[in-house]
Amino acid sequence: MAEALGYKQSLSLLESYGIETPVQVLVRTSEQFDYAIADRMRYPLVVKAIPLDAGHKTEKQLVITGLHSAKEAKQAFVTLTERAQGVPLECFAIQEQVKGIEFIVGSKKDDVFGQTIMFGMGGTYVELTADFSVRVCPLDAEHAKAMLLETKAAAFFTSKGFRGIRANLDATANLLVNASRMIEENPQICEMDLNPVIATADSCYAVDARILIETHK
Amino acid sequence: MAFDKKIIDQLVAPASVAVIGASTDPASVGQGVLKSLLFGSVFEVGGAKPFRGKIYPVNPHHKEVLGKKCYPSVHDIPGPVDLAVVCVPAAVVLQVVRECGQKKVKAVVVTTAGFAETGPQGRLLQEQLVQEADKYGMALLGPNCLGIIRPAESLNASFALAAPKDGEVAFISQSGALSDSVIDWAIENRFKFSLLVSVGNSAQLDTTDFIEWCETDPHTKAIAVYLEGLKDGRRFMQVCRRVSRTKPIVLLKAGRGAAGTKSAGAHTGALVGAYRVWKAACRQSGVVLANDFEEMFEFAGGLASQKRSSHNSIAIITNGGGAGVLCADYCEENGIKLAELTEDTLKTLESKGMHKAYSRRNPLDLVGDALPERYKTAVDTLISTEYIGGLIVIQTLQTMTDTVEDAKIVIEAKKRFPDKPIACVFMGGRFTRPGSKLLVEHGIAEFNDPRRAARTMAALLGLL
Repeated sequence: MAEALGYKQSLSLLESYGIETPVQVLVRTSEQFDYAIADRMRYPLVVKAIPLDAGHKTEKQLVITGLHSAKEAKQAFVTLTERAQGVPLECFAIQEQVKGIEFIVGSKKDDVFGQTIMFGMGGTYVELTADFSVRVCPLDAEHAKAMLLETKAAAFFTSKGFRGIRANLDATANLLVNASRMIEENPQICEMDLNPVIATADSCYAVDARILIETHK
Repeated sequence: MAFDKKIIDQLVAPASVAVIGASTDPASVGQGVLKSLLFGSVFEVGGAKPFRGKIYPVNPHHKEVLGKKCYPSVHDIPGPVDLAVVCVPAAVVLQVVRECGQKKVKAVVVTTAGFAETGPQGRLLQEQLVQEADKYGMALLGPNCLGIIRPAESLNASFALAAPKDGEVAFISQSGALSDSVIDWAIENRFKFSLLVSVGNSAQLDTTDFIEWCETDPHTKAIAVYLEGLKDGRRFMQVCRRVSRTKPIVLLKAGRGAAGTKSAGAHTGALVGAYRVWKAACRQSGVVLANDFEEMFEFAGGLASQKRSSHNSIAIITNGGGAGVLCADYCEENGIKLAELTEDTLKTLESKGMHKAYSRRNPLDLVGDALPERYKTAVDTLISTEYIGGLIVIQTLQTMTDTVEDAKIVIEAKKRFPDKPIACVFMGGRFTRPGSKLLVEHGIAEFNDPRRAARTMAALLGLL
């Protein structure tokens, strides 16, 4: 049996292993929301409603991106509150939107080999493309880079990028190494999706996380 | 239990063997094992020799089996016993193994089925069996296994139908029945083994222990493994990573189940199936994954007889355009890079004599009427060229083709350049056999199909 780690706990776990996440504020009420966006967050913003039983937020349409003003952000909050009616929420997250290439970094505890780590293209569509690489943990930077370069994503990691769009090889490999260290040191994690992971020319961020923890039967 | 090399030494090189459950019934496992020890092989095969040490049949119901004095129990055997092969019903295995412990037997092979593979009760019985063996510090192979064969020691402690010849490939198998067929196949195909061990339920000694043991076995040059499941994957990786540096390991993994497990809605769980993890684990520990049985032994044979190379720049020599093009396709599919022949190389070839219509590029098509001289020119020139890392030599059979001479040319070239891998495709059957036989005898991988040659070349280049 497994249960999902809460969003806030997931974020602090990622941060404690040096996995970068976008600037974000977690709020629970309309007043907290107003206060947060009045602060100095950089637009565009993303607003997410985080269900207690965290499923795929995209499928439930609980994520709204590309918010360029406080007004738009507030409208998104109202819309999400409506959409989430009947769904118990942990909180709302207001994130600074990261523009870059979407990847997925995942982990799965294998019965025979223990913790494994996966890197794939395309965030949401990875199940369709099936373009991904796998390693048994632990992972060093060199092997992490090899993992990145054996997928079609390799094109983004070249100095010219793919059609001029570049992803930072060191930063993305570093995220993989940190994620590998995190799951090795926390063997109770039986499955994880960092999805999407967004890489830019300079950095790499885990934008959303779903971490499953083993519970005793 | 932690690996102890000495404990497996007891299994592989005993001075005396008891067969517990030796029987006068010709259809029994007990008689099969006794025959294997007494004659080297149940079925008549050339070269199988009787076990040189002492052999003791044990069975309280018989005074004599196959003309040998039979003892009521191991306690009644006058001298020491190194190895006991246990072929009694599951219900009495525990008792018999305990007696072996008391007798200070060093290793036991339990052929009997009816343990963990049957359910919780069998699992319990198996745990007790391991406890008993551990208590006396005995090596335990099985239960539910075919036994162990060590041709160099003329030891056939199994109920296999025949014994393979002494060679350089160790075969560690989780299936006893498959081992039987592999032996028959090996005899037919002149394939030889340094060790053949059926690990059965791997209650105490498991596949990883035997891989580790092979690391320092002077008879073994490559290790072939048939595996269904494993308990400790991390230890397997750690051992293979080290052993594969000196002894290539080829694995055929059964139970691939492509699909991942359905779990609480995370992508990774659905995407990453168990076999993907196996592939990753093998790659990370230098283990070559084979797709089928033939491939496993082709790879193991190729890797035992030729050195691995990382110089991925191969030339194909052929006397048939079609076979050359096909081979180039298979090379590409398997990550083999074909060397681009330089003008200098072409000049050298032409100065020594090429057909006017020869291809002038890689694959080097010598044209169908190529006699041994033209093969010699091509093989010698290309193998001595620095930017070429190895050769695939294809021979289709024309009226003027001299397969034995062509084979000799390749063998000579290999002697001069032992670090450059060579795979041959002497396509045909009855009339190419003398040449292909000669190649195999000289440790050069030979196939009837360009795809298989390309696959083995890829294995030799560390690409699989």
